[in-house]
Amino acid sequence: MRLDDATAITKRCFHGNPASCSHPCPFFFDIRTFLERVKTGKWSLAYKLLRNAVVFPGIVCELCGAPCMSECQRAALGDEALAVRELEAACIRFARDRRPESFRIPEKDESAAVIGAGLAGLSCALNLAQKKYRVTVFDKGKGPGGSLVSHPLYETFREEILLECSASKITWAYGSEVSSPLDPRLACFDAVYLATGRGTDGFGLLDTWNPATLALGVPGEREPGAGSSGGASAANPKRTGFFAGGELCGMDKMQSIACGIRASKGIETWLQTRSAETLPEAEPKPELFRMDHTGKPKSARLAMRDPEAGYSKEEAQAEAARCMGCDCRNCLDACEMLNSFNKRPQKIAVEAFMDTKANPPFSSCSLTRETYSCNLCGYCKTVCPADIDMGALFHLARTGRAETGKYPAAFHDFWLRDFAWHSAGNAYLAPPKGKAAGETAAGGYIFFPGCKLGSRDPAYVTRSVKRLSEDFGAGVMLDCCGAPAYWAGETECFRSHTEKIRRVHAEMGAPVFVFACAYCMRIFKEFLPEIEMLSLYELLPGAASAVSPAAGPAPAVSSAPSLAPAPAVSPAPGPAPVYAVFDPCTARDFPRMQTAVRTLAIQTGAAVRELPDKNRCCGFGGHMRAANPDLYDKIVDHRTAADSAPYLVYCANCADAFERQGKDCLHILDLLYARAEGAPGRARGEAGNLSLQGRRENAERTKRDLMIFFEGKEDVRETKPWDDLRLLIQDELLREMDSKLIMMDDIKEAVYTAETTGEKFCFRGGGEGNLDEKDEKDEEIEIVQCCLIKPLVIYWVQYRTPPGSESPFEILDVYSHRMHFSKEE
Amino acid sequence: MSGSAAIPGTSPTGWICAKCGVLLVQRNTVFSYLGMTFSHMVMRCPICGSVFIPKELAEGKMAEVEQMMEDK
Repeated sequence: MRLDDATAITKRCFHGNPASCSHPCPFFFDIRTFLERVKTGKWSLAYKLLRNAVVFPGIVCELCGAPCMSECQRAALGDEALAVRELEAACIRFARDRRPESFRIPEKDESAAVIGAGLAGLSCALNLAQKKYRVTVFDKGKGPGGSLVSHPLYETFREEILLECSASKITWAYGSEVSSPLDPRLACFDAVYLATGRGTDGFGLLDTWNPATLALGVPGEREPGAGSSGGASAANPKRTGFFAGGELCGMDKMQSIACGIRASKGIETWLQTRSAETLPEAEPKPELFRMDHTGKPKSARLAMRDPEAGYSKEEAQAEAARCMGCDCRNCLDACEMLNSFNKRPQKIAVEAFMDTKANPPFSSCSLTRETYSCNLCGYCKTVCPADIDMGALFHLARTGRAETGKYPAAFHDFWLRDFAWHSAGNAYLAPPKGKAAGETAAGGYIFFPGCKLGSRDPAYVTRSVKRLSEDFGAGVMLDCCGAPAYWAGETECFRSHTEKIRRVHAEMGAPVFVFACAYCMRIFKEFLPEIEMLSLYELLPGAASAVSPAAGPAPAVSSAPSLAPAPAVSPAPGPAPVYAVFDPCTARDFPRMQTAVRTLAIQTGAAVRELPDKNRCCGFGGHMRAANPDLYDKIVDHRTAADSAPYLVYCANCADAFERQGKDCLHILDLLYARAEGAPGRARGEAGNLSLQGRRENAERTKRDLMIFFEGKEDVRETKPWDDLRLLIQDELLREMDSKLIMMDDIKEAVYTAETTGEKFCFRGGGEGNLDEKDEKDEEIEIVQCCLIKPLVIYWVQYRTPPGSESPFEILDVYSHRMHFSKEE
Repeated sequence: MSGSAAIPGTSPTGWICAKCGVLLVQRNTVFSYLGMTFSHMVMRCPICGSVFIPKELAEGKMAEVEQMMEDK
């Protein structure tokens, strides 16, 4: 991972950048922050910001043409722009102390001559003098101001100049005309800034002026700007750097001040390095973005009670409050995760890179929790005016961290183990080489239900397969799409998995894949693009003909026949049940899938309604639950509260997440298949109460049923020595295990190992702990505790053997930790 | 980090190592996580050195330290 890889993703983010009003400003002044300070009556802070940006606030607020107004986004609502100039004037009046600051820094030996005491020369001279360089200003006139001398407000401007220069040490040489770079008075200076004003000849060197560095060439040196980058020469023995700017170079007065400020930076670099560098201001400004202000209230410009006196404090604050603070926070406001950490996207990009270079304990990572808390759902991209997908950045961060091994692998351990289990052995099923599952001809359909559908209910898969098999001769492949490896950032693991699928697909004769899960489709679309695909719901009766081609991209198989007769199920009698359709986040890219689900639901007699905010992640995405369980709960709670109606979902993960939180929820296949048997859909929480172990058993049953369906026999099941161990576990503890992501298989292994090796701890007799609360007969029962050490997580099990119980082991408690311990002291 | 006697397994006494048949005692133990190591007193078998981690330690202080280390 390179820094550019990360920053390229957020490059166009303008959160925190100056707003559009700053773009036409010669000073690129942060007007938004200035107005925020005015709004809250922080006059001195507002003044400081203004002074630091424009050097001579009193002059600027009189002479500036306020080009900022042309980019004020109030115009989008038909309002007048903010009265920025009048607010600057008010700020100058109300600032408590306008005396310039003097910094306690040592005086420097380097010197600069500024020729011309106009605005360009003065702003440059003042900025250099504030940094304690020795500065001499030459001017042929009798005082400061240059072309301002003839202005009617010259006296006011002069006072402003004297005030701003009062804290800096500048040598003034008035009545001194300097007309040549070889003037002996310049010989002692390290740098010269030429700001002699409009109509002067710039020592005849203007054709060598470089606007990016503001540097001039000098006689005897050919290249433009070479005077500031070349070596010493007879004409320039001291290697004096020559720079120019202001009205001499065709600028107006405001540009001249801004140029003087830039020149002071360029000259400072020259004084320190003897090199004229391209100034940052010469680089293109960040892209200008306008916000969507639809729905925001209009607000007319506040009129002054006394126009002669200008805004009063209260008036100024009220006028400043009209500023809409045009700063994009769309992703930060829309996404719970980004909001909870509240970091600038561009900062996140830099930190994502820096974390891959961290070397704990000597240097820390700063983005770990954020990186592994993202659902990778892409919602941020849909609300971003610059189409930035922060999920792509967090995924990049995950791959970068996985490559370096610097990440808490326990965050994804549960799902990677689950992924491995689903991708091989008792849950994996792929058609034999040379033929598709069943007797499907090459080029037909293969149903790829994903790993979660059968885990929720084997009937989802077996009924779908039966229908697809009968009507299309379709086969089936039971496997995981690889999302857990992708979400963990385990690039090599993910790559080898997709390669396996690619190989199997080719061996099957390149059939069209039929998906029930939108995330599987998203993975295939991006990483296995050669595989044609469509969703199960588009193939089910009635949906294929109902999905308009205009509703989305062309189907993978344009001649996909409808499974007549439709509908498969009869509408239930009575009033139509109403469901709010919860589209999974990844269905965002599959509008035909979305349409098909609605069509199928309506055909069962159900009424569907839309959520105000579609395609949000249910919380499952990115497997962030282990890294940030509190945020996970917050996200699921938010999604479940979006509509009081029961949800109709078509992603098994969404269904699991919602039911676990107690939300009434139906999978579209519940409607289609359960209803066919006259049941009013799945009972509330029926699947949600499934334990993790129950889901695995369902996955195994799915494979077993399909083997019988296709082959007429069961597969040889892989077994483990502890499979037949009978455990007694209370429901409450089962739920606790699920919430802690602890598998029954690990508990069995722990108990089996403890009982066969004797490596366990025992606690016998009463009078200690909660044994007091047990029956007298329990007092003689031995409580046993054992642990199972896995590479990333250590599981502890407390159990006992109740007399007379059918189950030899009653599990009393289960917990885990990630930290490992050593037997060595 | 040892806890109250309200929950089995949290008492510093009472648990025995089934293999060695002796009571567990508080002993220094080296813990490691994410490349960092540190030591702490926990209950162990004085003979074979088997380590016993009670629930309140695992889900209390240890979880806190794990989170702290993960955030580094």
